[in-house]
Amino acid sequence: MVAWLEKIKQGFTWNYKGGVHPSTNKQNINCDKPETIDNPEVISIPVQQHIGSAGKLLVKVGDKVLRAQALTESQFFQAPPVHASCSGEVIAIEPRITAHASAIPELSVVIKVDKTQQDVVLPAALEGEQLTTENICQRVHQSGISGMGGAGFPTALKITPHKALDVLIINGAECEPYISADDCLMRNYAAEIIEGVALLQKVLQPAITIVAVEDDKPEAINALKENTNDSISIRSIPTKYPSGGEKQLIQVLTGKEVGAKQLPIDLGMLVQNVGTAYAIHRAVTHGEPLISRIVTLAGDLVATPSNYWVPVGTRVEDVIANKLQAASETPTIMGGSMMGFMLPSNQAPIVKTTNCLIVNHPQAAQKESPCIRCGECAQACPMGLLPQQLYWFAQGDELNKARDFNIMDCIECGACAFVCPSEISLVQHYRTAKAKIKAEDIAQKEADVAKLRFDARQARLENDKLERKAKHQQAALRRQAQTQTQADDKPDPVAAALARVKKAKSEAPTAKQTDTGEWVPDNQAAIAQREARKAQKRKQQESSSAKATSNPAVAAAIARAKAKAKKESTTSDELDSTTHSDTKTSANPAVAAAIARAKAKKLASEQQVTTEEANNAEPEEPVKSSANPAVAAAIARAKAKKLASEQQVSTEEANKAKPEEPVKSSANPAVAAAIARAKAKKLASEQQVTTEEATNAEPEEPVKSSANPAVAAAIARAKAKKAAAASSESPDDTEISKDENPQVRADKPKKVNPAVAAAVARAKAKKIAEQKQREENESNDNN
Amino acid sequence: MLEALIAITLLALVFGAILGYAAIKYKVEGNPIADQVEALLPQTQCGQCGHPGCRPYAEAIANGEAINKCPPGGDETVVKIADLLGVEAIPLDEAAVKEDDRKKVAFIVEDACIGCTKCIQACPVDAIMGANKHMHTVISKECTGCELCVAPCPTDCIEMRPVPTTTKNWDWKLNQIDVAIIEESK
Amino acid sequence: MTTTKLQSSPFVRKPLKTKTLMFWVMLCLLPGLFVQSLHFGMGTLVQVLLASTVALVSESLVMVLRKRSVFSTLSDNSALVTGILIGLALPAYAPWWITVIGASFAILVVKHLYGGLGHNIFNPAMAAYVLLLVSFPVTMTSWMPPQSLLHETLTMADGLSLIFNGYTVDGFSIKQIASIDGHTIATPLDEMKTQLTLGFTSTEIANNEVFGQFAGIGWQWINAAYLVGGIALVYLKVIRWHIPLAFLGTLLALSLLSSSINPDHSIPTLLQLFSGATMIGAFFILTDPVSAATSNKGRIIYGSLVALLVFVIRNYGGYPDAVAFAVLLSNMAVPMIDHFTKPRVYGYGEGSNNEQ
Repeated sequence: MVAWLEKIKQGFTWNYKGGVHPSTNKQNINCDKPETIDNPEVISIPVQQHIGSAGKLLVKVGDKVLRAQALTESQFFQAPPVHASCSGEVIAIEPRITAHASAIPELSVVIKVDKTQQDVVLPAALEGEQLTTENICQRVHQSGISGMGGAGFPTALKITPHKALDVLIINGAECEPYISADDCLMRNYAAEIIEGVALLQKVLQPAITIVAVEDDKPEAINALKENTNDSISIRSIPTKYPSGGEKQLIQVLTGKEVGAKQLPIDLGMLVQNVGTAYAIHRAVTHGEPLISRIVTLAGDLVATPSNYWVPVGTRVEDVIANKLQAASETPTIMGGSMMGFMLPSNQAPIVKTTNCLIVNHPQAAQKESPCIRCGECAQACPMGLLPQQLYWFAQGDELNKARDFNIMDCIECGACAFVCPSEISLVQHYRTAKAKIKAEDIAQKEADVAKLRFDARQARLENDKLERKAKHQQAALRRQAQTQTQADDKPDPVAAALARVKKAKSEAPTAKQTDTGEWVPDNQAAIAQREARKAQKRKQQESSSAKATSNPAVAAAIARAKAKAKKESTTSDELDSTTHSDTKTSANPAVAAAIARAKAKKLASEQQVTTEEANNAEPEEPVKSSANPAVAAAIARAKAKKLASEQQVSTEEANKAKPEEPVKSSANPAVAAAIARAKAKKLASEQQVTTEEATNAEPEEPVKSSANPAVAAAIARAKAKKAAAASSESPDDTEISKDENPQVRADKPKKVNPAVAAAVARAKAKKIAEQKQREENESNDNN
Repeated sequence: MLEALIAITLLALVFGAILGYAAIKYKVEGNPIADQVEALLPQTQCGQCGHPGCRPYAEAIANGEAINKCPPGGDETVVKIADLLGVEAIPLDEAAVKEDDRKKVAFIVEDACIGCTKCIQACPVDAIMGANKHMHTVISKECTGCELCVAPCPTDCIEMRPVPTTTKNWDWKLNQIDVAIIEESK
Repeated sequence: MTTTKLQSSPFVRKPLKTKTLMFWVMLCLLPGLFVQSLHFGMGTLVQVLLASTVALVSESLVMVLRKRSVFSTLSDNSALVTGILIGLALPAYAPWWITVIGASFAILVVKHLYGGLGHNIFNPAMAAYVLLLVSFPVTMTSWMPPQSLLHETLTMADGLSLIFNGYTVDGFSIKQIASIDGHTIATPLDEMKTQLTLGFTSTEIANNEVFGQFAGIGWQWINAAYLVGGIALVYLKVIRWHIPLAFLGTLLALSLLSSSINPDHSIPTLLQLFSGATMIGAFFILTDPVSAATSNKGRIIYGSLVALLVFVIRNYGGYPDAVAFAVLLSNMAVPMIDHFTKPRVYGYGEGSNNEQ
């Protein structure tokens, strides 16, 4: 181990298999101290320019911001903040096009730049004892520094030490053609870079520190050598692409390979870009956040290829404005010519990871010839993959085989496509294959989670079922135990209950019409029964009163008391022999009874109405079992009137829905179903009316004109149960064309509460209106 | 001639005995094919195949049912099952093919929700949060897009919305991006 | 406003394209072609021209059937190279229909029925040669002896007449012309094999008239010319050195071995290396990228395998020149060779984390 470190210290370099030697095209690029791009008019700063998550926004539209003011904040190192690179006014915070090939907009802060720039007060420099690891990391985080070599990993997270470091590598290799941003930085700001490296040394305490530069940059190497100290060695490595890649650089400088699932830190190594080191120095020593960087502008169409300081967020079109020697007919390339990507629009902004812009002559789209299996791609691949095989698998969609051949280890450097004599866009095929593999993995994970949730739900439902079963069983046992303790000759309570129900059904009150046209319940049967019971009671009373005193007053008092007790109950059946509390106390109990009977009859019909209303109307107020039947009767009349008006309204609405039906019925089958339901109800009640006629031989009258519609509703319910089967197919004009779900039926014999139906109809109408508006909006957008 | 007959008969008996022994001693419990097929299905539990969930369909496939009935799985799943079972990969059932195959998740339009819990009871993965007379909402991350909740809703307030494409889940099909080059004056 | 589509990285490429590769191959075949024509007359040129034409026509036909662009496919020069190789492999005065059958079979069946450029498993030229050899053995083994050995030189008219009519202008068949004193002159390898089986020692046989300074008359210089062309090809980095070196090295080693064990009854080393299709095979036929192995390790194994098979068939097999069969047999083994010679991927295996 020590021998190995010694080897490194002495400058030994290793080689890696593969790699190519494209022409660098850097000779004519101006690398003197770069000019700054004059403040553009509008800048668009994406909120997330790094790997990780976005910070919380601190500004809103309309705010005035100063230069270097924080626009987002976060306490987590994986969300470095972004800062305003120019002072101005925030004119929008919305998804805007960003520096990505997909043209998918991402949230950006758009600032209209002021003519004169104003800086915010910068945090003080950290010096002396303040230079602790925590302070430095915090300052790095708050300055929004992320890796400037291209990947954009949050630097504060990367340099938070949790393991002893053997080798700290500062990457100044810059192996890609055209890019000379780091070269320019090293030539002109070598001292600051070294200071930044020193800060990193303070935090990470590595055994060896190396700044690696490719040997085609002699000026940069000299500049660094002049400014360095003994602890930092400047190493020149042979020029080969892609030596600047993290994995390859580690291999060249230390001979070790980063394992497939490992990070360099697991081997005791860390790599940082020179630009990041510079930014760290500016942040710690001057308090400046990362708001501008050097960008190379190069290519055939650029008049003088050169490097510039560009504020982050400047649009590409502002950078290239007035610098081209001819109008460009191709998309600008962001990045180098081996790994860069074409921008879908020149409105894309420069972000913290942008190092180069290339504007070239238009190149015809590559025409791919068939692969001749020459194997040059495998010779060129720095990762030891078989690009040819991966190409076949990607073409044939054999993603599992591609996985076996380690397609996910491809670093997309483009060396394979560079050498391919058939001009096959190998890297593009791998990108799509990798995207498919990633999507597959995500889908698999989701499927696993869905399966777990489904199984959990099934278990829960099973559990509920079992519990219910257990409960029923216990209840059955209890009932059994109960019946056994009771007398054996008592009849089976269940059978008795069934018998009662049957009796009640057969004696269900029917409807009949009075002279005024009112529908009142026809209580003939009930009345007859009452008479029978009264007769029985009378017999009993007479027999008992015969035994009782012959005092008529006492008998009257007894009768009154009995009546008082009876009148408390609200059911009509028990009002047989009700007497009023405030009635004139007659000495004759029979007379009193007769008066009571008459009053009761009157009350019975009215109270029945109230109870029916109370049962089927929306409970606007709790049903008061009024002690005063007359008051109760008055309340009942008022309620009936109110309900009548409501029902008229609801039926009117239902009728209103009808004329809209031919227009909307095809649009929403559910709405049609609801309307059909309303119709069915109406039809059913009408049908009941007709059956009523048949049984009662009375003239037909539509429901809505009734002054007592609630009663009609009650009747309808009762009859609906009988007539449901007959009328289930009657709504012929129902359109449930595309309704697959059997739950939506037109023949819903359940209680159709008119008010609820009205609410549903209202909601549906609203939804249809919204849908229509949305469709209109969409068609307007498309145009 | 006789020796040949005897030899063949003996051989047949011996091999038959070995096979029978192996069939009994190494019998596999359960239906491993069904498990393997189930691992390939997308677990949306939507019922579009005609079976009440993915496990019953997997078992039906193990018993010979057609393999092309799963729309959420799409053609990729048909091919995978065909590879597993060694049968031919037939195209997806006509009734099941959708034009827009982006993943969709359910979304409840809260203005119209009346809190009836019908959708909650319908969801096979319990992805809807809510209670009686309280607002219901779909947990998008857990929604599998099976659409079983759309029909029971009495106010039809559930929509299926496609999952938005971000730079993180973009499919990198460069040649589908149209770039307009505006002729700039110098 | 124009619209365009995004292109993918990389945006620079190495300037070597498939058609340039093929062009260099053709260029490096010229020395050998020249020497071969010198020794065997213009029949060679006629065969080469005929085979190339038939190859190009067949390829155009297939491209029309496949509804692809004819010009762009022909311009990658692969059919042309195949045609030239077939022309060089056939006897100089073989009848024209042999050439036509061979070239069309190579392109239509061996190349395009298997999927076109890049998808064929077998080397088209060699597969066509084997087809002809097996179907028309007599015609295919009727090699005209080198001009120097003939009684009278063949005129151009004679040559054309032989090829297209089957007889010279004067009416002689090829067998008649090819015989000296009644017995047909065979190729050096053929001669050596036959005599060895008859019991003569190799030294004795070497005194036969067909043998020259270090190998067969005529054939030795043809092979030398191909060697020169092949070395040029390696130098130009059109092909890599692994296959030729493996092939020639293994053949050299094996024949040295057999010569030292049994000098009298084995084919001499120099004859092995400089006769028949050895040199053209080493540099131009085995190195066909489509049908050879892909990784460098695999290529070494492949070259050695071909050499082994050539040696075995030449010494113990029925046919005098074994390169075609050896190549086809090794093509069958290529998928397995590729499978077992996958390079180690960065970050996996014991090779990673090695301090070198």
